[in-house]
Amino acid sequence: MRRVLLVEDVEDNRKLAGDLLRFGGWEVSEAVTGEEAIAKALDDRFELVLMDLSLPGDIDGWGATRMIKATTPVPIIALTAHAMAGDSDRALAAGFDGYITKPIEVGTFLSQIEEVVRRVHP
Amino acid sequence: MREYQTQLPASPEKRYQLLTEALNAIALAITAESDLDKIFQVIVDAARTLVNANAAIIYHVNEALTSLESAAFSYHDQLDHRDPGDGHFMIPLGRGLISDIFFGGVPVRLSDIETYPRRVGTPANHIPIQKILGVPLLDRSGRSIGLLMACDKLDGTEFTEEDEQIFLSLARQGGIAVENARLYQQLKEAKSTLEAQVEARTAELARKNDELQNANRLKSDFLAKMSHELRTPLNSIIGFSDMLLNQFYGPLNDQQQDGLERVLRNGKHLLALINDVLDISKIEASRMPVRIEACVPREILMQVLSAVEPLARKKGHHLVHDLAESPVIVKSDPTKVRQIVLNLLTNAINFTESGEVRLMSHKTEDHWIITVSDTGIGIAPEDLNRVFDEFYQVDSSSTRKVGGTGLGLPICLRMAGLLGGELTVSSKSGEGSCFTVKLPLESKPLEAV
Repeated sequence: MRRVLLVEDVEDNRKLAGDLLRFGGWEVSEAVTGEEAIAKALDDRFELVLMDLSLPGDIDGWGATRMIKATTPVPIIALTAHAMAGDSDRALAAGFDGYITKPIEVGTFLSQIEEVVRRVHP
Repeated sequence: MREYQTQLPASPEKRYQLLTEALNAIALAITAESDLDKIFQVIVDAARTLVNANAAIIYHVNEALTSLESAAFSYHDQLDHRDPGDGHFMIPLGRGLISDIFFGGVPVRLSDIETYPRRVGTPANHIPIQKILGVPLLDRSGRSIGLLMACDKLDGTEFTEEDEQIFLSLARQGGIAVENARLYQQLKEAKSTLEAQVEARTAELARKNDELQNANRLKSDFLAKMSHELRTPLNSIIGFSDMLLNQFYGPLNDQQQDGLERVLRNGKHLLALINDVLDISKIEASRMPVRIEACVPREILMQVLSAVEPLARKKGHHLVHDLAESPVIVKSDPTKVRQIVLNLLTNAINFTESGEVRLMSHKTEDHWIITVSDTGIGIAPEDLNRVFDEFYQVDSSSTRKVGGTGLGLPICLRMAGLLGGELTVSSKSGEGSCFTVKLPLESKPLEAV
């Protein structure tokens, strides 16, 4: 089964994305903080990481992504409610492989992430 | 002014020439110098030399008009004189020869000052004097402001009518100099007052501007933050209702389906509002990025047409277009143009009950003109200039039905402005309305703050 790490601090949103991913056939591992995300990403092998940008604690999504990317080439998609101009450019420049704005679109979410996975691992 | 301290000029011609030279020198000094003392010195030296006198002096009335103060002296080289005290005479205005010349306003020539009936005497250290020539200094309005005096010619002769004429000429120049100096002083004061005012205003404006920019930044930051906070719960509201509607969690009965559709529709409406408010605040804070690039008008418009086609079909409208006269290529921000036209077309389709929605595009000398017109009910004249107000809606019941945010047109208006263009509306009640977008063929990128 394809494995995804879902990093999201808000429980409702974690369940929403998690359910969608599970319906899409993914095995979902969840993390709530940046620290937890780093630990799980380095501990396990994932085909994909979905990373909320603003996370509680010392390490936010940006920091966690930097740490994970430093050791493993796993594709990471930023998942954020930030819709200010330049955010998506900034995320892609910071090493994210994709950028999905919340609210996520139920109809297209799965195909959005598939596209990123295909692009990174053709 | 050494040249004047020579001996008496031999001929009247020579004297006349010297007077002319002196007057020229004085005129020059008046234009070049704002220092009254220096100008007075030039005058008094010239005066004494030209009439060949022992000594000459200029008095200048003080500001309070209570006394005359010596402003400049000239003594003949051979004259044994002692400097009068600190170099200044002060003569109270009142009685005496000097006051009389000042108040009289006319020249006075005396062959013996001792015989002057209203004489009050000279100060203790004063050089001995007998013959006197004195003329008042008059300003332009003829008011006395001082006087020019000489005493005793070197050859012991009387002061002549010609001497008096020379003095009058020089005194006239002196009067002008005083007036000029006063005007110059006033000008300087006015200028420095003005400069101080301008400086204060500028500082005040800069401060206000800083405050405004700061406030705008705070507002923009706040909206960005608020937008994030609102999107997070909306993510769940829209996401879960969408999941349920897609029957991810099992089949729904009709009532459940209907209720969830309402939840989803309103969630999306709320999201649209948040996005629009964010757009407006970005534009107002000059944070809306404008990306000018070469683009093909027909392509942009065809994309928008195909985007609204399903909606038009659903509403049963004819969607007519005539793009043949469009400019071939323009420099603009295609995303913004698309958003403007999409908004106008969506409005036209939504607010027209039945009939035709028309998209036209053509080129003028330096503009790209896009018009979106409909055969709807039109807009009453009193509402026409309010359609660009935030949250203004002509008919709130129809708005509720079509789900507009009330911010679409204000955003379009601002976006057209961002592209250096404009958006206008014309309408006749009952005959539909027509929105016109006028864009430059080449938009200039605006400086983002």
